[in-house]
Amino acid sequence: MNDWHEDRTDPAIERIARALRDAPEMGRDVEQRVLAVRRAGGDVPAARGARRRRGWIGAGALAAGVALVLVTGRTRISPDPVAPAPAAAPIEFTVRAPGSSRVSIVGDFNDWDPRANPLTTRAEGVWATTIPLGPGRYNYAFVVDGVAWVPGDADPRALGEEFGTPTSVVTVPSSI
Amino acid sequence: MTLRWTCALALAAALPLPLAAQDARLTARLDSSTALQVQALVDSARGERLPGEPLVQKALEGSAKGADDVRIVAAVRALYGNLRVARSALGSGATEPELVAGVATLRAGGTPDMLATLRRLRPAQSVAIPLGVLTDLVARGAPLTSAWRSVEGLARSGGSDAQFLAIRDPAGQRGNPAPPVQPLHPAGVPAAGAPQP
Repeated sequence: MNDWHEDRTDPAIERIARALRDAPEMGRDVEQRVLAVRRAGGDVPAARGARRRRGWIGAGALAAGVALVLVTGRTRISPDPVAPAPAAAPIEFTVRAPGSSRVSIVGDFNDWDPRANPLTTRAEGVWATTIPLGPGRYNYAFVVDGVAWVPGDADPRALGEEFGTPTSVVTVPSSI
Repeated sequence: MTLRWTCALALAAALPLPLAAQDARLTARLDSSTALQVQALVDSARGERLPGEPLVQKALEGSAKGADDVRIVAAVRALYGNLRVARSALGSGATEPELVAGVATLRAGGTPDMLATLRRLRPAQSVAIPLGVLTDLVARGAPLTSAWRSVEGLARSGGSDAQFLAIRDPAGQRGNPAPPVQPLHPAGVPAAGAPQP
């Protein structure tokens, strides 16, 4: 597995950036010579032919783009339908983990990222955090000292856990 | 139209495909082959107007838990299948929370008929909370049949989300043990497809 969160560069964007970086530079004198001819009302030698060729190349590129869109039937993969974001409610999560040095919570609300929501100690051995969550049903678990997966006692367990570690489910209604 | 503009237009028309086809979270946390397989499932789901985000989250969950690639793809594929079943039962207008709750109910042993029955009983209201409560009751040890009778009975009487949650958390807050489940309408007629007591 990759070291996630270290490098999130999109490969497609990187390809485009590389192509732009590698584009050949024209000498400054070339630009000035062309402008001088233009100002004089003349035409750059062979410019008409070049314009015609560029026109065909451009038309071809445009046609290729349009064809690609038509063949695939879409210009982008549709993301999930975007509904108006409902108000998030502060949901408190607590876990008893005496003797541990760090506790975090992972779940559907933070991409299961142990670094996203660390808990703090609020009492002897009790760790807690509050996360704003919109209405919905979220699977989650606590990660103690980076290794132990602990379900939340305040919520029911997720049934049919596929990955061999316990997970809880918190339900956030539309109005609390 | 200049060559530059023509090429820019052509590029703009073609670019969104690769840009949108890759979910950076998947490529960052799964190996490339697994990320591609999961992405294909996500794209297929979205092509069917099913939500893709639950599939992404399932893959990220598997990755965080150190599951191997085969297991991650299998879990995502199974979830995709359950989303289709849930949508078929709940109707094409089902929301993502309803579908997610429906999948959880199916995993708890519930049937597509239960989902469809709740949809019929609450045509203009979300069924996410009733389904979630049904699932949670089962997760806390209530027999599915009893839990279903409670939830279905409350749905028939037009219960609100708060009333459904009160079945599960009678003190009105998280963290209370599940109460013994009692049928609210013992004389009621079971819904079509509902399991008989």
